[in-house]
Amino acid sequence: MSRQRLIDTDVHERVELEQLLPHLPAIWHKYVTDYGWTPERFNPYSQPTAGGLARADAVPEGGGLAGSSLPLLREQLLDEYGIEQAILTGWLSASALQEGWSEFKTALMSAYNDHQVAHWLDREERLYGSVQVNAWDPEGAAREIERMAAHPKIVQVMLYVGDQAYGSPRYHPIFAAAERHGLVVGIHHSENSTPALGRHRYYAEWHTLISQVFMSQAVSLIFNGVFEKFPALKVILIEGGFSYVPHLMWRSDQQWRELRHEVPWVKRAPSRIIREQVRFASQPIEELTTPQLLSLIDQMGSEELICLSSDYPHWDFDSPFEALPPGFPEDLKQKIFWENALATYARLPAVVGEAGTRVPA
Amino acid sequence: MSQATATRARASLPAAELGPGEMTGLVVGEVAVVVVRTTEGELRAYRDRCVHQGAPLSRGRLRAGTEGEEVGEYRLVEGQGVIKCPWHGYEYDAASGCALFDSRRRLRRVTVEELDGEIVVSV
Repeated sequence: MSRQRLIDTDVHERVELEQLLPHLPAIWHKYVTDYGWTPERFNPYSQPTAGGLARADAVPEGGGLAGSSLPLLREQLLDEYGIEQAILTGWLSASALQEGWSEFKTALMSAYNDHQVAHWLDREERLYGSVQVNAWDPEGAAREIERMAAHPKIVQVMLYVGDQAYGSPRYHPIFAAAERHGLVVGIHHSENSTPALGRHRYYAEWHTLISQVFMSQAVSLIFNGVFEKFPALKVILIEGGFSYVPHLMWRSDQQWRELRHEVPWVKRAPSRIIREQVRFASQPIEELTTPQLLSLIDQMGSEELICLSSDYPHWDFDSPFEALPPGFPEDLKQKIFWENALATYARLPAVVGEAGTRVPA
Repeated sequence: MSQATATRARASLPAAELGPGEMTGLVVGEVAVVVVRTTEGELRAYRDRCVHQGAPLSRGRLRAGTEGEEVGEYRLVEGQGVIKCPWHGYEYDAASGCALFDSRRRLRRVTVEELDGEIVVSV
């Protein structure tokens, strides 16, 4: 059996706020150094796991935050699993915070992006980057995308979710800029994402219900015509798993058939839109048996929709070696591990396949 | 008035009772039919049964179509009659009988003609 080729579509690098200061205009420094600004968090509970947010073994021995050490990331992820390309999805996103003070937060995103390039992308060839933006400032976000798109290793725009639905026309400048530069838009929940009935009493409830946030975003993008307006756009929903996808397809198709006159700009059935323009990062994979997983993929109507993601270094990390069940077909595994991501991320470089076949980017 | 023959059933109604942009139900033999006069004045008749769950379309609405290209844009499509199912709202182009969301799904057409001031439907 040939070695599986791997693209990891969800790797969370981490940084201390103070590390961003060299990249942040001086006018903003005192809010970090003197006034104690930190990103707000709304959940009433912590992650009740061995290491909190992160794997307990991902904390560098010399100190620092999990996900902050490039040598440890190489050791525990890239080298351990033979990952050829990994896409950084970040930590700090103003989009996941409350609206307000966009001047500071948009500048902070620029600093984060410059740090990402200097600390990660320029130091490790296997790492590719995402533009972090302040979605509450869509015009500023679009400018940041234009600026960062010049870097050849930027492949994605990240939209973290607080409680906003990104289909609203307010956010369309972000999708326009992403489409213009061939950047995938990655949508990722945050600790501030709100499920349908709020945060509930326990973390276990909230973490179970996160898939609602992704369904909300997909529905919002579809019915607000984002995919019709930006037909070359690709969106990947990251860290919501994918077992909800058939439900999402069936239910949105049904509503579209019955209520389409309310959204006449939606010209294609939602399930078709999803198959053509939406992808799903695999983690946290819902630990199905092989027959269950094959049935689910059959219900999705496409083998092209799922892309491997580990979520390193977070506590619910999926090992690429263990995530798929025993007996899962090798050809389908190769699609999930490699081909689907390569077909989705247009700016990932073309790669010469092991059999000498050129795989299109 | 309904009249069965050896091979076909026929029914009719006064032509003056169905103006442009109107539809009505008619039973032909034992078959329920929806008769439509488009805003252009053309007559159409279909089995009075939604392809979805069999609702009587004649109890729904016949209205101009709605189109739009950009989010938030609503435009009446004058001249396009749309039959809207009374239950779940499936929409059909009155002239073709095709569902607006999928032209492969269409109503079963029934013969209709206007003769001597009567709309005559044959099944």
